[in-house]
Formats: sequence, C-alpha cells, structure tokens
Amino acid sequence: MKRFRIKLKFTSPLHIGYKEGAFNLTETIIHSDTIFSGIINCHSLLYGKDKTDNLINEAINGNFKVSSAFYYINDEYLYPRPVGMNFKKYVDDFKKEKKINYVSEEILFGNTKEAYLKDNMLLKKDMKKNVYNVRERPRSTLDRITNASNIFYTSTCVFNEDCGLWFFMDAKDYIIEEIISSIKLLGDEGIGGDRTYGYGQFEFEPLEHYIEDIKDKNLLLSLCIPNEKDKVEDLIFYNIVERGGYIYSNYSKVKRHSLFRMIQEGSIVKGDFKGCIIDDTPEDFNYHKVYKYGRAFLIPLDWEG
Amino acid sequence: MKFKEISLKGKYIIDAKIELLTGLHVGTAGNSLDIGGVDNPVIKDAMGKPYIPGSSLKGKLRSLMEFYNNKLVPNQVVYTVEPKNDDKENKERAKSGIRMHLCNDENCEVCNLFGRNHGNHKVIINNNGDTDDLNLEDVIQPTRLIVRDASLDESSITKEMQDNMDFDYTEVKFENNLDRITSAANPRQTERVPAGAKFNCSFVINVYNDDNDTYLKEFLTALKLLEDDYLGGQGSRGYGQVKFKDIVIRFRDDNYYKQGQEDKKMYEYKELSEVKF
Ligand SMILES: [Zn+2]
Repeated sequence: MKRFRIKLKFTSPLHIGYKEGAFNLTETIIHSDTIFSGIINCHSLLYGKDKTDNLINEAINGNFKVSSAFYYINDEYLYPRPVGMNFKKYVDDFKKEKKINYVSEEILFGNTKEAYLKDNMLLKKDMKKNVYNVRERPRSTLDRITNASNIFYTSTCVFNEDCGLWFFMDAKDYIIEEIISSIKLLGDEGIGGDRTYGYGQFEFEPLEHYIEDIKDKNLLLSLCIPNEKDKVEDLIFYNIVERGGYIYSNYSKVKRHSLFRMIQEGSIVKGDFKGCIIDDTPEDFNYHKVYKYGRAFLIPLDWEG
Repeated sequence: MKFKEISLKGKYIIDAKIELLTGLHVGTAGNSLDIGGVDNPVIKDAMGKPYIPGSSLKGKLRSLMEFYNNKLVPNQVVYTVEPKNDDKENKERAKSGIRMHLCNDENCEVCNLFGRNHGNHKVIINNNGDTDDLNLEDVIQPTRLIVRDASLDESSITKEMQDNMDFDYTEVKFENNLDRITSAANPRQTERVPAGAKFNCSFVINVYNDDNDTYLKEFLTALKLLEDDYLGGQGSRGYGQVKFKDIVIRFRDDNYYKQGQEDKKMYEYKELSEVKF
C-alpha cells in the first residue's frame, strides 16, 4: 500500500454547497464521498464499466481509500479539529478556542509553541490574506419567446494564490496508475457544482507520503458509516452528520442518495475502525450500481484527552 | 430501458479571443445603487475587472442553436420556471414562465452539446400552453460542452481608449428611456466595456463513443450565429456585437490522462470565416 498527499490547485472557482437546493455556500471543504464518486466516474469514462467495477471491489476490500479534502496554505496543511481536543494554550480565551474547526499539521503533530487564529483555522504562521473568498454570482435564464429573464444567485469559492485543498489517497501498487489518471481527468472535468461552466477544475501533484500504523487513538479524516463489526464503544469523541445529495453519475442527474447518518471528520476512534461502502442503488435505476462511500480514513493521534 | 455505455474518446479544447465590435453590457442582477456607482453596472470579478460569465455565454449560444435548429416548437419546449398566476412581483413571469428547449430525442444536437438540466420538467404540448411531464431518464448523458468564464485581456485596453473612459475598464452611457404610456423621461446610466476590448475565452467539448467531430462542427456553427447576433444586454441598441479571433483547437485524447501524452494542435484560424468543415 502506498499513501499519497494530493494537493489540489484550483484553476477555476469551486462550487461546493452542503445543502442542495439552497444556493448559499455553507461549506468549502470536499468530503470523502464526493471525492470517491468523482474518481470513480472519471475512471469509468476512461477505462469502462467492468474495470471500474473491479476498482470499486478493491475499495470495498480496503485496497483503495481516500480522505476528505482540507485546506492548505503554501506548505502548511490543515486537519479537522479533533473533537474534544483542547487548544486553550494557543489562544487567549475560550470564545476564540470554540471557533477552531481546522488545525495545522505542525500544531497537531509537531512541536510548534506559537499559533495564530485565522477565522476558524489555527495556523503556525500568521496569515493576513484570506484563504478563500466567497462570491455571489448572478445567473439568469432568458425566456426564449418573450426575452423575460429569471435571475438567481449562486455562491462560489475562489482560493487565493498558494491556497487550496488537499486529501490523502491510499492504494495498492497495481491500481495507482489508473487512479492517478482518473484524478487527472477529474481535474479537467471539475469537482462540485456548475462543472458545465468550468468550475471545480484543478491541477495536482501526487506527493508520496509515509504511512503510520494506526494506534489506540486515531483521528478520522473521512466521513464514515460504521460496518457491522465496528464497535460503537470504539467511538471516543465523535460528531454525526446527515448526508444525502444527488448521485454523481454519467447516466443520471435526477436521482438522490438515501439519507445517511455518518461519523464526521475530526472524530476520535479507538483501534481499527473500518467503516464500509454501502450499495445504495435506487430501485428503478438499472444503469450501474450506486454506492455510498463510508470507509474510515484514520491516522494515529498521540493525545491524552 | 436501454443501456449504452459512455466512453470518453477525448476532449477538444478551443481557445479564442472575443473582440468587441461595439460596447458590451453584461449586467448584474437588480439595480443596486452603490454610492458613486452607476445604476446599471457590468459584472466584475474580485479584482474589479469585467468578465463574461461562462453561464451567459453558454446560455446565449444555446438559445441561438435552439432557434437555428427550429427546436422551439410544441413538444420540444419546457418550462424551466413555471408560470405562477399569483406572482405579483414579476408580471412578465406571471404571464409566461421561463421557456427553453429541452427534449428526450437521443440524437438532439442541441441537448447533446449543451446538456439536459436536472429536475423534473413540464413540456409544452400545444399552442394553448398545455403541459405534460417530460421524462429524460433514458437520454441522460454527461454534458459535452464546458464554457469557462471569459477574462478581459487587459492589453486590449489601449491608452487611447482609456482617455475616453469613465472607469479603469469601462465607459458609462447616458440614455433617456421614454415611458410608453406616461411619456415620462427615465434617464439611466449604463456601464459598458468599450468597443475594441478583447476577452480570452476557452471551451471544452467532450467526445464520447462515436461522436468524432459532430459536436465540434455544431459548436463552430453556434459561434458563427453569435457573430450575427449580440452578447449581453441591449442588443437592439447595437450593444454586444462580437467577433471571434485567433481560434486554436487542440485535441486531448485518453492517452493524455493514461500515459501523459501531450495534446495535439488540430486547427488554427485567424477568424471564423476560415473555418471550412
Ligand atoms: Zn433537444
């Protein structure tokens, strides 16, 4: 198994809305299930349905997995704030401490003494500019007969120079090339909404990263649906989120996923919590199988809490 | 239900310049009046530079192709916004709703190139405006055309142009609209990007299965139609006449992704009149 850090450098605005139907942007990170579907769809366009079924099987067997994507600023990588972890020693008061949602790698795993709070991010370096800016864009459809127009708004996120999102990808040697090719195509197809206007396009470089064995306490870097062998008592600190959303498919645009309750990034779990990938094919959908990706991506976290 | 597997053969990448032959006004919604601003501003990016949103460009190209291919007939027109008779805020919409072409013909050149929107649609089946449900399930394919935002080529704004402009990149026109009923004058300012300005535009056409260059040809026809029409608002006053220049078409096949091959330059035109397909 090899691990890569995939650092996405967006070449166009990104439209990732948490609640579909609502046009305001409420979230600007990309969850593991969205990344997984994006890669799988591009793989199917490049290699065909049969080979893609094989890749999904590799993922079900744990030979291919992805984390969610979090912010980076130059070479500083952010992680989701571990649930229950205390950062009071870095900030003046508890109001500020409560705001922290993302924490720099060097604060979590290094021995940095000083830290700076930037919006909801605890950083090693003081950062003046914004990591991203959200802009509202008017959009209109013209009536073809009267020329009357219907105007609505969408929000997009534009990352500043040297800022973007990164995620981890683990894969067995024999499937790495196919996956990297699929991510390259995903960069041209775009990820998130409004891809037809070139949104969500990116360039990337896969950086090989060491793999540390998981330990007693581990930080969850993906969304996760527990499998039947995962023990609920292994969840030390956790948050639950409800995820639905549209099915990301080349063959359908109107179908929705079932609503899933998922364990959120930043949760702390004991031991080897695996999660699962669920067959979520709608009843009247015969083109291909639809899966909800809920495998756990864990890294060890030394912390007395 | 039929299943036809979709396989990507490659992507045409089309880069060109859009040159403005007359002033261009792509407006923002509403008429929010900034202090010191004009009452009909053009849309600008975070740096305050005007741009042409990909959605405007794509919408215009699509609507021109709908007319050209005679697609605005009963059974081929849907409501994207349904008419609401109690909609007091927008009387125009209350009367008509917003209509466009969308169909379930698997060979439709317009829908296959520009895409089929998600959601449930009501198709208009006769001239009385009666509707029926439209089922697109069997014809959904990924949208072939991607239209990116076109950014202003700053070097196209010459010193001479700047001397006649009101802002860094735009000029302001005063207009006097007469109310047809009361004859009251309604003076308005309209901001526009001046003639001579150029925008960098970029398009992608995905090639699936046995498409070959079918949709590239359709797309080039759409660009020609736009040159004979207008872009943005107030076209009837002569705004928004454009010309495509320095058109470069490259092809990126699947080995670009699988084996890291370079993409190939296929065609290069100074202007659209050189295109012979
Ligand atoms: Zn059609």
